[in-house]
Amino acid sequence: MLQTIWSLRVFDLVFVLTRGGPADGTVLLNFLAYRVTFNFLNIGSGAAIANVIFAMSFLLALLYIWLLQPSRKSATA
Amino acid sequence: MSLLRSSLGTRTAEAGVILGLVVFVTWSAATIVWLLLSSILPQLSLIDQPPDISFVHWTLDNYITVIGSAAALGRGMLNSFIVAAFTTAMALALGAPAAYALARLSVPRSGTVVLLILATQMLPAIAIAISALHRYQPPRAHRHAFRADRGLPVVQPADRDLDSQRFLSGCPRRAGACSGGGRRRTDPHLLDDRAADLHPHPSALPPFSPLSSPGTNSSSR
Repeated sequence: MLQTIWSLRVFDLVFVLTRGGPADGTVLLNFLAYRVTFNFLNIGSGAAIANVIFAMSFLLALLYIWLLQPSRKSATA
Repeated sequence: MSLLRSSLGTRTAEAGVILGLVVFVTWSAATIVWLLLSSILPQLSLIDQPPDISFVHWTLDNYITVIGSAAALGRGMLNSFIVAAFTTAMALALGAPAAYALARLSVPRSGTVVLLILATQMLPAIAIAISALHRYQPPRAHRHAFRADRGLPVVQPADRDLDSQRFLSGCPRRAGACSGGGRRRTDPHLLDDRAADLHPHPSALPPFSPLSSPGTNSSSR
């Protein structure tokens, strides 16, 4: 689950290697937020995308905590 | 007297800890608060000096715009989920058996193996780009640009080279956002500027080729 959350935050490799190409094939959400904010200078939309990423990661983190709850683990055992 | 001094010292220490915590939380939360404010404020309020963050300007237009552009957001979301799913699957498939073996079984030189696994984490991920620089040849579009930089005759690049330039610049081939050798544009009316495509500025090109070459596009031919 942590790996999934970290993978959602990948930015550096995309920026250095492909810059989102070919034909937007490697545009991840983080890179989309960067492109909208700094290339298209649409700060508000970039921030909105960043908040969408935050919400998704937060939901995954909640799921992660729920799955690792001691009561749930003992119930399944 | 000494009791009073001791009590005063304890209270001062507590106050210092609380003050430090307040500063730390404020410093950490400021980024998130500003991100939230940026997403609910219009562009004009954001670029104002100082930024106008009054409640009357708050709007959800940015979220509506982002959700409305479902193609871009959906594509980014899909790519992110593909990357996340594959990395998680690979981490589970390779990491779980390895972790079990190293933790529960008597593996010879397990300490060295753990050190080697940790060593891969010490290597910055960006190092992949450095190895890619040596492994992959630059496309012909680069050679045209370098030749032009030295003052030699410029060879008109083929459409495939134009695709390469767009690819290197991160521009979609359908010309939705920008065109022309790394010069990004926000004005969609400037997208058909073929002259800029044929003579890109060399400084606009990244110094190495990416991991895959763009496919051919029948519409661009």
